[in-house]
Amino acid sequence: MAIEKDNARPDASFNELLQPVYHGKKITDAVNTAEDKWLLLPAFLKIKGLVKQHLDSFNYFVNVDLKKIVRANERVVSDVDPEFYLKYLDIRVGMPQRKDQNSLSTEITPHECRLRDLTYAAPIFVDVEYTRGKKIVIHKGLEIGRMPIMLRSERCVLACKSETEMAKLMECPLDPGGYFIVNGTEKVILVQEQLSKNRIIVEADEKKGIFQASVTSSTHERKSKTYILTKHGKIYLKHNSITEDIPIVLVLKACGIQSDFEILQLVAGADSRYQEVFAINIEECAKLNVFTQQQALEYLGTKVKTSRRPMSPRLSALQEGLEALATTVIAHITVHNLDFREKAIYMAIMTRRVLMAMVNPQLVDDRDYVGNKRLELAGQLLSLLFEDLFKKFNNDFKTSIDKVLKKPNRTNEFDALLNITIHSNNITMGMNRAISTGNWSLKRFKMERAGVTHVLSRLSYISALGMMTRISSQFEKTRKVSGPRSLQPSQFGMLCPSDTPEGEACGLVKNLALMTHITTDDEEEPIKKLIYVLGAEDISVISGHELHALGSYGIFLNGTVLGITRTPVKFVTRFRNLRRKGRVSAFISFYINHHHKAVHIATDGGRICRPLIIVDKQKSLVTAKYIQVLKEGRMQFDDFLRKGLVEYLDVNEENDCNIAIYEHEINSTTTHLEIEPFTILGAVAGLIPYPHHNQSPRNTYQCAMGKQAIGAIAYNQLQRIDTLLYLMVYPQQPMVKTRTIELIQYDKLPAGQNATVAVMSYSGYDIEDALVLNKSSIDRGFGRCQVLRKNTTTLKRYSNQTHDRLDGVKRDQDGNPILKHAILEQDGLPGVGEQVSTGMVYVNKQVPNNAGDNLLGAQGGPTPSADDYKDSPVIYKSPEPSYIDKVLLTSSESEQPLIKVLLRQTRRPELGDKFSSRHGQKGVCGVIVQQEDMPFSDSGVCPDIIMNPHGFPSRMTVGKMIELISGKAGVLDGSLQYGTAFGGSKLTDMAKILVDKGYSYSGKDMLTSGITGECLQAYIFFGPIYYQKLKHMVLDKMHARARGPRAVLTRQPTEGRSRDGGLRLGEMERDCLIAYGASQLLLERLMISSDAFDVDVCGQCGLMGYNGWCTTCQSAKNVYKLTIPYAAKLLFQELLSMNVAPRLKLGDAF
Amino acid sequence: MESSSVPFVIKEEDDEDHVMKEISLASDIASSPPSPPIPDVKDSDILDRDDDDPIVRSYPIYLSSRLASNLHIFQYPVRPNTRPYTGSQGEPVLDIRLKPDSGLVHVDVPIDTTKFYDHEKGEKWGAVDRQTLGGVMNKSEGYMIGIFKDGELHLTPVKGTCQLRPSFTYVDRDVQAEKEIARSVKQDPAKPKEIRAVQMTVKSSDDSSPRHSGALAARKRAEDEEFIEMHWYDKDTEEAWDLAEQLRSDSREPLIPATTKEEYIDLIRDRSNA
Repeated sequence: MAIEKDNARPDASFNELLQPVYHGKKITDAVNTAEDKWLLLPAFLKIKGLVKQHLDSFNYFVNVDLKKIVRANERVVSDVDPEFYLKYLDIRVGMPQRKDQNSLSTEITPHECRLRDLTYAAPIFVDVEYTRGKKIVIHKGLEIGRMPIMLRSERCVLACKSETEMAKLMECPLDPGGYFIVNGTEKVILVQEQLSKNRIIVEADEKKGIFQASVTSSTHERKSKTYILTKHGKIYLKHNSITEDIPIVLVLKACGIQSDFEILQLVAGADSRYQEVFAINIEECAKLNVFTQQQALEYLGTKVKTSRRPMSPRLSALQEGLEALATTVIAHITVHNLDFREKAIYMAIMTRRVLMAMVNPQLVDDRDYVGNKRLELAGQLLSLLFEDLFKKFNNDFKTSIDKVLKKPNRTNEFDALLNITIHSNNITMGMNRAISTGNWSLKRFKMERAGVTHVLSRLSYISALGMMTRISSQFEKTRKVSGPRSLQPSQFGMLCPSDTPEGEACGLVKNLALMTHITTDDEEEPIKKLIYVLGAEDISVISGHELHALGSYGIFLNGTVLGITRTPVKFVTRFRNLRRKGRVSAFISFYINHHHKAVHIATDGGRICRPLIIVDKQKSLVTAKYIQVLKEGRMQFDDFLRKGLVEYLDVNEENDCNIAIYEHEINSTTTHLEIEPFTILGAVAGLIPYPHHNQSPRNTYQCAMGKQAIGAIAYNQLQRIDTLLYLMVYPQQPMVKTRTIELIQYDKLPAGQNATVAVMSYSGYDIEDALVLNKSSIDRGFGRCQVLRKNTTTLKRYSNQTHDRLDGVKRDQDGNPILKHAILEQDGLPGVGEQVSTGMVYVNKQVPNNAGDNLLGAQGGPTPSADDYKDSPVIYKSPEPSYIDKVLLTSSESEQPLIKVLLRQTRRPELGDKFSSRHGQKGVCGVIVQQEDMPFSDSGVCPDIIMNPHGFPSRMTVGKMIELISGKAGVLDGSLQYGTAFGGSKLTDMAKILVDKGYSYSGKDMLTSGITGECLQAYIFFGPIYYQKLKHMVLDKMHARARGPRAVLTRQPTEGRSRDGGLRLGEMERDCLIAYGASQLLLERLMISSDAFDVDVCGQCGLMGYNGWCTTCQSAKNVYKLTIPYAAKLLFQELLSMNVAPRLKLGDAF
Repeated sequence: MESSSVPFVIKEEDDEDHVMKEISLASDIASSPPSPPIPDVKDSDILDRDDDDPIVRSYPIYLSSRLASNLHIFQYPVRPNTRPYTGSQGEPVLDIRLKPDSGLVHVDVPIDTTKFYDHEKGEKWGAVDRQTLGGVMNKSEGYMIGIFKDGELHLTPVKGTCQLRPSFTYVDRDVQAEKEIARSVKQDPAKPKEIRAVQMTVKSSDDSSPRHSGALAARKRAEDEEFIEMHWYDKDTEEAWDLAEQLRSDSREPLIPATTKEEYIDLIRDRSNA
């Protein structure tokens, strides 16, 4: 019964993995924890999914953050009328709705938005309380704008839908969601990687002898960075809003720590090494004659950059200093009631870290360490944006009500609500614009960030999935530092080691591993209370003496010190026990840093963490019993978490643990056990069979190519109308699968085919990785794909009541449609299924001639006749014909008619098409051979592909060879084999199957040549390998030109295939010709065939004239005709316009 | 008021019988063939899994609230605890002033002018013979003062804590004076008072007055408030001892924890969440 109920659940597709019988494993089978604990992984993905981090983040934003933002900006008051106020009581986001209020059903589906170029958005409602006259009015459910909704989030219509319901909504159940639809395009907000906020980072430049501790403070109002750094051995505070570096002792004095003794105690403690290094700073402050807090504040005040608003009065130096210290320096620590102690201690700790680095330069932080990074997700980015827009909205609202309230006598009672709805478009448009352009501009931080969003790549299922797990770094790509790009050991299990692009973004763009989770913000307050309850000594009652005493550890909550403890291990253990009991959030991390003598507790969002099995007393807590219960479906992953069998560790806490990879490796110091080692790879790298046998760059290459493979895109692929869609006609699931393939359900939307490969040399057309294809295989459908291309036409309306229209079919004398209009139907649209070839019209649009004119005066005039329109048809341009697949006639958000025509081409593989196996081994089709000429085995099997063996030695892709053997064994055995990383089907088992079926254990066969009929001289490595067809096809690239269009300015041939451009003879080619001395060829290529131009040059003055006349010399004498490149003539003229006179000196050539 | 935090001062007795909890899942209720119950991890103590910290002795605890509203802790962070400010040490506290609203506390202590004393500077700053220790009162939460008497522990909750550290007001006073002299010297000869036209502007006081940030407002509030002079009883005086007696609770009512450890932790979590 329980199972039946499960089937109805949204993630029904996972059920197979959790079924009683799964791949030969029955419930009654003996359960071996060591091998079967991987079952936790499907359980994890069932509740988490691959894009859970995006959904979590968006849900958190809609449910929590949005309310927090409104609470922080809840009151709008008027400058004019002190009585007036408007207060936001609540905010909520509805379900996605059609904008058109009159429609029959308001619910809208994502698919409709994609087709109609709409935005998938839901209204934002607020409850407000405001004054109208003397009354206080409460209005509920006021719409203030529309919020784009992330697909499959809680607010999406797809949330909690079963496979059947999804199909009804025309949505693919395997689609991960996590993206937005804005104006019909699917947009992803990529995960952004940043240095963590509000944490101290110590860095050293040993060459220059500079040590600095910096902290980026981030609050809702401001972002600022504070440095404490050394200069000539002395320590200073540096901040953007202070004109010069301030001696640290002076700053501490300004914070109210006036006696030198206490400063020394707080910074250096009893350690004489630190005291010695620090002493000079005290002297430095004394030299400035600053002894008291008052003096220090006054000094500070004179150095502060003031940016006062014009109206406010000037503050005294002391007030300036106080204000700067309280609000801008280390802004994330708030000062209550003149108590600067917390801030002073924070700065003292920063200073101490600098001292530590000065004494021991190894005690610096690594900014590339993943524990020092935070990931910013869609929710956080949207909340930044929304707060900015909401503030602007309130501001606009305030100015508009002020305008009305200013008038002394109003005719009728003023209702502020009438004014509020005017501005609601600002929020809607602001969100839409930011997501569709990717430009995040936040006024309050003066932040401008471009390229935040990307169009979701729908090239294949994997490319879409790969995009959802992608992380982009904020580092500049141009900087030549290797640190941020190199593989960090702390990435283990968190970020995929293989999946990164090559080239400029190498190592900067990363991908999440399979089991990672990104935290959202947790409440700090309860943890703060618990810290004290669990025996921490409050920082406000201790002095520097106790803080730095031997054996005392500071307790830091999100980077801010709250207290000290003398039993750090016990303290952390108690907290961890609380977490395992579920008393505090599972995503809070606790760890000890012995170098800094600190216990760190982190509750902030954006930390990367992953689940691990807890080991207690050298025993894994997840035992066979639990796996049994999991298999029976009576326990979910969350039950494991709740029971304290499994817990999430972030990078920092992982560093404090000892994690065993396999159960037999557990020893007395082990604290955790890995769930499955293959989860260190991401979704894309998980496709590779036996990746642990490959040279590592090959796996990286495959990660890039897997995203270009043509295959099935989604279950709704034939319902979609995308700009460009590649579909494979007969995709197959790979013979050699991996667990990851099953988990991400690549086997349901595969991109490739199992080709029978013979590794041998054949024909000489297989050099440089070229492949030999079997013509009959191609006839049978190998590598066949379809290309679907969209054309969008809108029928525009113009301001003068005219609009575009569709014209019918033009006919010749016999009444037959003219050739160009052959496929058009009466309505001027093409017939579905018709073939359209070059030059044919498929949307017969006409535009009015007078669209720009203002016809308002001529109202009621004659209706525009046929003459008033000119043809503006959509003409098919590609050399290869297409078929009309679909015609969609609908209207967009602006209610203009929208015509989308989908054109289909079916393509067989041809010479030059690109293929690749799953091991970074790409190659183009070098020759297509008749099946008769191909070699064949004694059982009559003929290869689909012949691959040159030279591809192996230098690439060292042993995984590909094992894939072939496993695949061959699987074919003979009638089973699918596994090539899961760090596991998979064993080679010896595969060899056994081969031998049992009468084949060689090595996978080599005796082949007969199809050409000569003789046996080949060697045994040939022969078997199935999964091959992907990549999107690079000759048809899209072929290009040649004899003559053609030229650029207007230079009269040189245009550039690029799309403009029918010429083939450039570039600098390097030119150099060759010069070196060779082929001057006539040079002349021809660079001038005659390009932009030859006849000019009249005056031999007297060397300037150009015209018509045999020199305007400079006012004579026709000495004027000669010359042929020079037009570009050269243009250069001379441009130089002339800049008052540079280039003169040509003429002389006789011979 | 903070009685519930008592269990963490003295280790509570460990209850031996752990409750074996059975989490029943939906499928258990279903009429499917009886399946073995889901195994449960041993429900040990909420905080400590293995307890190698045995209880050696226990004491009765009593809560006294007679001084609860007035009890403050003064700390002298820069003063070694071997040299307290007491009459017996020859350095009694001379004066104490308080600004109750802003929580400012000033305490005057004598300076030993016989040793390590720079008479020249002392002269300059106006014959300094006493030092002012200043600090801001912090509300404390969860702190108590306990006294052991006859094998009983008496606890009184602490209202606030305050760290007192030297403030060099005499330096500020001196600098201020110097500045004023400098100003008058600058002003006097150069500019005799002459008649000038003054442009008058009206500023409404309520709305457009400068909005001070928190720190500025707090400073203004502190400056505006008047000190209240208090009386200091030295440690060895009769009054001090009488007062200390009030730290003992009269009632011998035993304290019974109203919550278990787990409930207490949940309470803290939930209360601060709300």
